[in-house]
Amino acid sequence: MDATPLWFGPEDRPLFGWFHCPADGRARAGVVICPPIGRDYIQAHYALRMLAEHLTELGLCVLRFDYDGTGDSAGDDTDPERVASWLASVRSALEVVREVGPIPLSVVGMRFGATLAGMVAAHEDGIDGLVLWDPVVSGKAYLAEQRTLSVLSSTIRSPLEDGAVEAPGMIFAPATARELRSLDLTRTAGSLARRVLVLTRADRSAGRLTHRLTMPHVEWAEAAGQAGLMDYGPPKQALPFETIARVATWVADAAPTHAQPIQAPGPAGSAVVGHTSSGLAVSETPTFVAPKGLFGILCEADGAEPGPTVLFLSVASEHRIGPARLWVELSRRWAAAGLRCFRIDLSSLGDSPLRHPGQPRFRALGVEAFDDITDAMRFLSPDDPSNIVLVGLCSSAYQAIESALESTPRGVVAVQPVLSFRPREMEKGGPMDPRRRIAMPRNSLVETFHGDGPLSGLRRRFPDLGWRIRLWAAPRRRPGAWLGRLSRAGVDLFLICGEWEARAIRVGASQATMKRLRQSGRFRFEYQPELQHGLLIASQRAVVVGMVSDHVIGHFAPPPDSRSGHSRDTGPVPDVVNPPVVGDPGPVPRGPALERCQITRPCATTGLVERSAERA
Amino acid sequence: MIDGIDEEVRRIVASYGRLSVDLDGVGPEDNLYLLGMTSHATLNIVMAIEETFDIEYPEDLLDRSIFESLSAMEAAISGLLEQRRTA
Repeated sequence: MDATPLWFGPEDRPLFGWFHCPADGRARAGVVICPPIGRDYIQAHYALRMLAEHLTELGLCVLRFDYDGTGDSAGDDTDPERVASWLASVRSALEVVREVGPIPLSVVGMRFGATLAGMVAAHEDGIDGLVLWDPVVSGKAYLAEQRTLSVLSSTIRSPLEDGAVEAPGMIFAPATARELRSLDLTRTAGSLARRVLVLTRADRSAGRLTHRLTMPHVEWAEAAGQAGLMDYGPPKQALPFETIARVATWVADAAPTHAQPIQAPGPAGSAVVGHTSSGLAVSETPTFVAPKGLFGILCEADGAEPGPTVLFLSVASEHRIGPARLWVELSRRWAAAGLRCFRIDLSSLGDSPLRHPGQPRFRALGVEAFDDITDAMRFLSPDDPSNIVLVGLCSSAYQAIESALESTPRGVVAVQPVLSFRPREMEKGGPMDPRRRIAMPRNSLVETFHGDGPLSGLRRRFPDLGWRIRLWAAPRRRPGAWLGRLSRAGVDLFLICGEWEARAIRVGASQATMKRLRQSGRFRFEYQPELQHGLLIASQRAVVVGMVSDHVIGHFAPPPDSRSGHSRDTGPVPDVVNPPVVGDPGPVPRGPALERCQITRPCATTGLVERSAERA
Repeated sequence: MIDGIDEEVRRIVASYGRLSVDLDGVGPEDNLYLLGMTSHATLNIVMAIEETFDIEYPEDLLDRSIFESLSAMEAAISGLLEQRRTA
């Protein structure tokens, strides 16, 4: 990718972005890409990177960025004045592109990014082209949609302050929800831009927007492939190549044929993204990991003592910010406690390159991840590559465990590890890669057992049967075996599993083995049957954050008396981490069990709420 | 039950439900989630139902269970229409 990471905007609250520029330093026009927010942002991230690259190939320069309090930018979603900050972020991004040279400027916004782009464009002069890609018509509609999605996804409800709205992976605080309701594209005035392209989903109505944007300079078309991009995770998620090409061509077709020299922003150094409660700066540095140039962000506080580096692995097909932006939150929190943290995009994902030309883009669980992690460990800790703590969820939790068997890091935190899947190398009949020592490949018989076919009755009656047979046939892949190997190698392992993820562990490791492992002091297993796989429920997320923070800081952060200013206290959070997402202390949690683990502060207990109580 | 709701619900589920089976073979009490209906597909159904019947699901009614089957959807819609009629 021929692009430069940069910080821009206010110095005390820097915004993170990527500036893409044609190789010869000349551009026909400039484009700002406004991403969605929340879960939509994660779903769309790679597609918007592809759009930026396509536009650059057509001779345009592009800035894609994260709004204040989102992605890798400073702040978070509990800060005040979210909507105003997001609108200001769009204006800051426009300014960056305007400053590179006297070239026409276009804006592309997707989902809520289209809403923000439209609201800003209505008050800006000189926007040549505006693309509203699957636009959210109003903040009110958006809140209703996100609340509905959250309700439909789970029966578990997070206790919320009055007026707060839970979306998958995000909470809108009461003030933010009120601010959102004031946004309405149909109440904008004027043309918005010289040319406008509106792309809508065939399975959803654009409602009143069709009446607002009926002018001759507005073109309407279908956002082909949008459901495939936004509504699914891997392996069903699909990039909308047709629409990416359509948007790029539509923007580029109106640009002058002659390119002008531009003054591209320089590469980013470090930026201060916050401070600890004692005033130490927490800084982040965009970093390319040798030798393949994998991208990641290093996060550390001033005066950090030598110790293990925490390496957060990107999850599934997503980029480095983690589920519900957790890797960003934890990086900054743990840096404040004296730990050096790094969140990385595994190869072919996020903003990282391919390891080799034959590697498919945007595919999770590739064997290339083994080498990615080895490279990162050597890069971050060249004198002792094992002086690393690996953190992963789902696919990257699996990856962390596999890598740990080879590289024996100081520790592994594996949340919801996926142990059963169809490895890419086996899709065309090839053997499983020998580095996959714990994976249990899903073959057609396994698929049949888990489907709704003739074996479904057997599965419902004996849910563990499949795992028992598979593990009997592959004894070295029994969790009891590899858990023991990790323990003997001195790796500190913390496993957190929901019902489905825990099944292999519970079936494949005897009670005696688990007891022996716990007694080693290097093993902890938290089994929480109701834990949602991707940590999209705020109340569950808060408890997991508390548990892993207690564990990692307790086991790996330098002792507080060896440093000045860093705090290991995971109760009242350091300033760099804002109060937890569910709002201020005050609301009475629903259900007796939640009292044991108040959502308003990280939980210092070892257990999550019980199933029956959580449903109370 | 108000006439015509069942046909409209079937039409909407056929269009937006993304079931893994043909809707013709689906009974009124069959669990649609087990037949492949995801939360995103259900969201599209919610939006289509609200537009078709000019109703809005109140927050306290909104739950996975009222979209679990064709009959559950029809019952919820009938209830909301009746409430509006008698309000």
